[in-house]
Amino acid sequence: MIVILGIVSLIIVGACAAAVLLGTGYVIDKSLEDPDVVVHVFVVGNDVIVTIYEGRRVDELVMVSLEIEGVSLPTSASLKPAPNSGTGEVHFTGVGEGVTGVRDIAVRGIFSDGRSQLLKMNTMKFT
Amino acid sequence: MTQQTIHFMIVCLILALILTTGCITTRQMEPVSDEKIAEMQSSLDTFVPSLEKQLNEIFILTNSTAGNLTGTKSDTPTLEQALLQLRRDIPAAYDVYVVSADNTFLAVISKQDKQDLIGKRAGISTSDADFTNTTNGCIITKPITFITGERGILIVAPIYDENRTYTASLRVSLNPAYLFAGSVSQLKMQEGYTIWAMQPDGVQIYDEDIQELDKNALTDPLYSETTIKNAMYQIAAEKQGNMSYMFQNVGWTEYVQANAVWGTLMLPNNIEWRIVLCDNINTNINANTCEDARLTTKELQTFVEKAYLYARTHTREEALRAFNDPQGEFIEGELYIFAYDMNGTTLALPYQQSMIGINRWSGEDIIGVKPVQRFIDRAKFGGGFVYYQYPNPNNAFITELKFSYVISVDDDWLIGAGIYPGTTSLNYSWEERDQLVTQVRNFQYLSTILPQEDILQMINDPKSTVQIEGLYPFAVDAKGNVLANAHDPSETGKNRLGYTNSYGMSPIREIISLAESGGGLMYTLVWDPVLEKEVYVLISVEPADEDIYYGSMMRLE
Repeated sequence: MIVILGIVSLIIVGACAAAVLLGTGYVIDKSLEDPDVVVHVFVVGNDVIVTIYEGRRVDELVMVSLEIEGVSLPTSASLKPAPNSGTGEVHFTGVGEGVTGVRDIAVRGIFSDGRSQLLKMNTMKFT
Repeated sequence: MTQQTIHFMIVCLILALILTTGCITTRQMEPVSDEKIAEMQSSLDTFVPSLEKQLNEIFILTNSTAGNLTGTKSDTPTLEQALLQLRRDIPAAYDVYVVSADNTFLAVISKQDKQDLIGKRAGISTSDADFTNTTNGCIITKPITFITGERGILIVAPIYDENRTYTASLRVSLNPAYLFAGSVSQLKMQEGYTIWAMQPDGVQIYDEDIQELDKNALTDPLYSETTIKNAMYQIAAEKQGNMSYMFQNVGWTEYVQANAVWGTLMLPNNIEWRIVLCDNINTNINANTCEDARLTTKELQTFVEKAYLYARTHTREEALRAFNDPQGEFIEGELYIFAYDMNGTTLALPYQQSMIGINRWSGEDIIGVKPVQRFIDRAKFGGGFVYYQYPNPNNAFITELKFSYVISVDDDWLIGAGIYPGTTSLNYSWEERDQLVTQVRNFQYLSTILPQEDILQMINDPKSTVQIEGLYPFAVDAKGNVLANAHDPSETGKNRLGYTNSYGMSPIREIISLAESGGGLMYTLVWDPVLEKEVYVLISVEPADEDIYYGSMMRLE
């Protein structure tokens, strides 16, 4: 009886591990194939430009917010409306003023349902 | 029909097939007149002494610096000043090192962090005996890869103590191509000849075609055609001579007859360079120079963005497979996608797949700008345009300014593509390029002997002794404040981190980034207040310390 239980337990553990592995792979693949919004971030002079390319939820994107490691930005500078067409450039003017070195940058999207989602996290060079 | 007849016919057929498919070819070459050979020999006889003179100057500078270091301690400012001075006086030099008799680095002037090298073992060891039979006190190495990843030769001079005991060696690493490039471009323009050079073991020392460097002329399949193979072996075996061989023309469109004369430059410790002058500079190919056919930077950007979207929505393996497919969707006319990791290893090059996996971090254009390092630097800003010079296959392989647009896919790799925008040819001489490098290295040296205020004043003073006509020195700090600017002294005191050009490049941020990585050369486009337009410039920049960077720029148009 103990032997049977042991085998059953092993099967269950194995199945769970396989499910976790496959599930993780699925999630990764799914996110690669069908990202909600594809964005890219550029440092140009003292500005940070977020280019929004496309994605499943691009039409629902209402606002874009930016965070720069070690920089305290007022909401007026860090939160911008998304382009009307969904895709296009969002300019965060002057947010890089005085910023040098290498910083982590996070771009978040705020969607029409009120949800906020991290769209991109990057290590960026300012000088 | 008898069996013998059938055999005979089969043998004839096989022979005919072999002969017509080129397995056995007899290249018919035109004889070359004695006058032409004499004319070529005369050009070579002028070229070789000029190269020899340059090398001798480097030997003398290196040896006299080594002589002045007798009894100097390794951690003194005197030693650092002497090394900075030597590097300033040899613009072809990458780095300068002092290596102890037991073969460890004692002092370094290099892009590489000093602390990474001091105390480490050097790859090449030397002893007093190595210098006994040298005419000018120096020895020279065969081409090697330096600790910085760059490739070139070392010039080495001995350092003795007061008792004439060998204590260390002074080493200068340099790219031999810098010694040839200026004179070769002059020779090509004025006399219609070019030069290539190799050692008797086939190792290439210089070739105008950067694709051929690093190849061994005696073993590389590129030189397997019978006449060129024979020529290479003959040039390797004999110190001088003349001959003709068949080789690809400059456009790599057909085999043409190249006529060559060669001589030998005898260097210390039995190193020989065969200097070959040849007339294979044919540019008479079907060049597509139609300006209308030139792609725009907008088309380039759109193409790269399409690839970026693909890369972000597929796995890296899938994306690289697509970018490397010469028949795939990421080939549009002359446009193709290249990809590198952030260490400079090639990930995608659809037309040169043999380069995949090769690290191109140290690759240079004809003037010393390192394109892959510029790609990586730009990608770390998110991306944007990068300029460098490269032969244009659609314009007779003439070296032109090339624009590439790069984007980082993530923190680990980047993609990009390039176009030739058809910019008018850049106007500069090799001497001006050397002056630019020397001027900036001079500021780096002066920063160890003069107060900073004095140097800044000299930069802003158009009549100071550091000024060189046509060059515009400047100084910036790590925060982007302009400390001095000869081109426009009114900029002094302003923070220019926010300055951008019409291509969205951030020259000041890039200058600081280049200086912080150890210095070097870069192209950019800057506003010229005199000409009232943006002009292409070449910028050299070197760090003086952690906070101050000296640079200079020269107009290229």
